[in-house]
Amino acid sequence: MDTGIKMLGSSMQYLKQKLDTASNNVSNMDTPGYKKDTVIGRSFGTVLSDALESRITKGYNLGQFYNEPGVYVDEVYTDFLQGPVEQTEDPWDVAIHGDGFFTIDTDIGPLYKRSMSMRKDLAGFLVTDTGDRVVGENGHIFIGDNDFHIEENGTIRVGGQVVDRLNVVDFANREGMEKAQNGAFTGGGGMVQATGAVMQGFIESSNVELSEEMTNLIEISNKFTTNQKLIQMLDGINNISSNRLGKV
Amino acid sequence: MIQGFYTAKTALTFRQMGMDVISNNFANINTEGYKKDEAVFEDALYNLSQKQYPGGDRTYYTTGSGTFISSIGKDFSQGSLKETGGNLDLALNGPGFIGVKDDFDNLFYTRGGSFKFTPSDEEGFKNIINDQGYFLVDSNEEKIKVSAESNDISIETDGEVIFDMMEPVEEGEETRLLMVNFNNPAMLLDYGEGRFGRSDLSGAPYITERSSVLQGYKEMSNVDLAEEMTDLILHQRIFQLNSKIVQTADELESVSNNLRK
Repeated sequence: MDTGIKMLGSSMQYLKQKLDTASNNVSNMDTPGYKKDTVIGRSFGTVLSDALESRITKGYNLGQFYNEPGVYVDEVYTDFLQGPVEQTEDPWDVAIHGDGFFTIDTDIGPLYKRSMSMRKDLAGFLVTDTGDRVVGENGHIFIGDNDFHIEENGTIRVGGQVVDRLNVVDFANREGMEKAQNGAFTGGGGMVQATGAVMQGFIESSNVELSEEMTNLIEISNKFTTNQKLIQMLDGINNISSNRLGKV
Repeated sequence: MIQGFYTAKTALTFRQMGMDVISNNFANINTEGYKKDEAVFEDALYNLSQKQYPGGDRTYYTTGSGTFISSIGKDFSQGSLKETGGNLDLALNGPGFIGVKDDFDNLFYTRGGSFKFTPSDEEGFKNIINDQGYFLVDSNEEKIKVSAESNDISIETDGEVIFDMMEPVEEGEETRLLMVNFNNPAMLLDYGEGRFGRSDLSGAPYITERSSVLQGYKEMSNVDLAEEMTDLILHQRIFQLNSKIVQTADELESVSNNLRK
């Protein structure tokens, strides 16, 4: 079989994943607290040497690596770079400048968020816009019919009186954090107290760089076409070998 | 199929919806007592994919599926107050609502408005109704009635109603406007004409004393022109960029379809 066509096919699949990820970034360029994703590829070279190595050390036959070359998605990397912090003057909006995540209590356990547009639920507790309760150091945070003020270290005051403190945490293993929906993340390993400053009346915009995404898009489109042309060329060569070699 | 195509489509759909919200705010910029709507955008579900490599190791990665509007709610921040001098123009300064009711005893909540006298069913009394014909009620949810001969009515900032030729009342029995608030006012039902009704999501009304009633004032809309304008431009740009992504995804599909000449 012709490995070249398979290789180019895997490259097209990889580019498709890049487009899917770029598309999600651009869709969420204005979603508060959204962090951009980047597709990291595993190159042909790596796959080749892996296979060679396993052939030597584990005694695999050569056929195995001939069948699986190409480029693959290694991981989708989430870039936790700080997004711009924008003033909304709405006391119910909070963001973090620096490292850290707010803790929220959801149906599937605790999740972590960078920026929240809060409101009150029917019982008078602070919730996110999707209705998940915000977690403080003493559990859920009761506000009732009061104005509140949040200090930089997360302390919540109602009329000068300390009510609770927002549970702002960070994770040593950020790579273990998976995206859940609604701009929230699952926890990674190694929870520590965060160093970032809590800012009331602000939201954090997404850290998507438009120019980066758009140039990516052009690149994806062009590489995809190149792959197609190469497949067509190889197909042409196959065509010659199968149909014209025997002719005089 | 290319997921990116549909991912970008979600942004087109929901940004369009966002633009509808903004244009409604624009249309009501001069509507007395109008409260602006706000759409909150969030990212949608993530799919977990798994890839197996030669040699046996696997990796997992997630692919997003776009964006959606998690809620469209009213922003009940204070609108600017305009002095009219009208004796029965009422406005609220601070959070909350005053109660009004229709002919069939259905209770609604409003931020104020222009009221006038109307003859009551009861001989010798008159009620107070607003422009749309809803009766002002007291804290017992009864229509407020004043003596038919009385012309001078004053409403204190705490909502107490005082009129001339009033019979003296004991302390604690004063006629007071029904002033309430909700735990989650953003989810009140909007009936138009500045009227709101409770919903399951807004919670039950509770009496509040945090706001003051201003007699002789009207509350203007809380729409901020500059804010809506920049929002509109942003929505337009996001719409444009995502339509580019749809185009690119379509190109890739077409390239794949033409693999075989």
